[in-house]
Amino acid sequence: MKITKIKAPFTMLIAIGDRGSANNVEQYLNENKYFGGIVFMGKGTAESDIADIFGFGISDRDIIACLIPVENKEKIIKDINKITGVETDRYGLNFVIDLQSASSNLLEILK
Amino acid sequence: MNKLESLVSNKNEKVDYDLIVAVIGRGFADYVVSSARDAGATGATVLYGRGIADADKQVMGISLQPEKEIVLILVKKEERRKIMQEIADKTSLMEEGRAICFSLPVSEVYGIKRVAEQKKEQIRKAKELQKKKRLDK
Repeated sequence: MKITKIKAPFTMLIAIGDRGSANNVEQYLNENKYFGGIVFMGKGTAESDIADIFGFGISDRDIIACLIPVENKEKIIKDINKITGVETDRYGLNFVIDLQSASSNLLEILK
Repeated sequence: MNKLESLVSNKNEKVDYDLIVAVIGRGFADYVVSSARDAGATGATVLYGRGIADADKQVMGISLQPEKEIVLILVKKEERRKIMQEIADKTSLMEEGRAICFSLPVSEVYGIKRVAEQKKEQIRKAKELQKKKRLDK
């Protein structure tokens, strides 16, 4: 069987923010019909060395992982950066992981 | 110039990042995070999960549900190897086969400069507070 490598049409966006920040991102993704996202609830430790002095080193975080189409990547990232406020005044981290492969069923669902 | 200052000063430069993912038993995330921080990582995010590798394993007729912690650490590409080595060495979990650590390339990052700036501000405030306390004494 001949295997042809093609560029993945989706990429994975991970958005990490304070607890509750996932709601706005989730709403945006649903409104724009970007399904296939998942919200994890976790803990952040970035501020530990300072906050440990005062006894609050770990804080709750929302982590959203969502597959987004490559052709609209710039717009989506721009919108999510605006929603989460990571480049202005709020804590957060958004990053993109390129996918190496994806199953055909998944692509059919996301179409 | 310390690590944090260099991170902030790279504001307009393109810095490549990798995501280190460590999957370990519940309760061991702190060891991984502290090892990573010793090696230069600024922070980490911890998620909770359940491993399925030993799904059929039973002890005295009770099936075990191996709970896991997943640690995500976003690091500069050039620091990745050092941090992963430190995690492997200090936690010694990798040797015992109770953990797995791998890295993924990250194509774009937003917000890390902001985090670095906030951290710098916190350090400044903490130093001021310490100085004030010393003066009060």
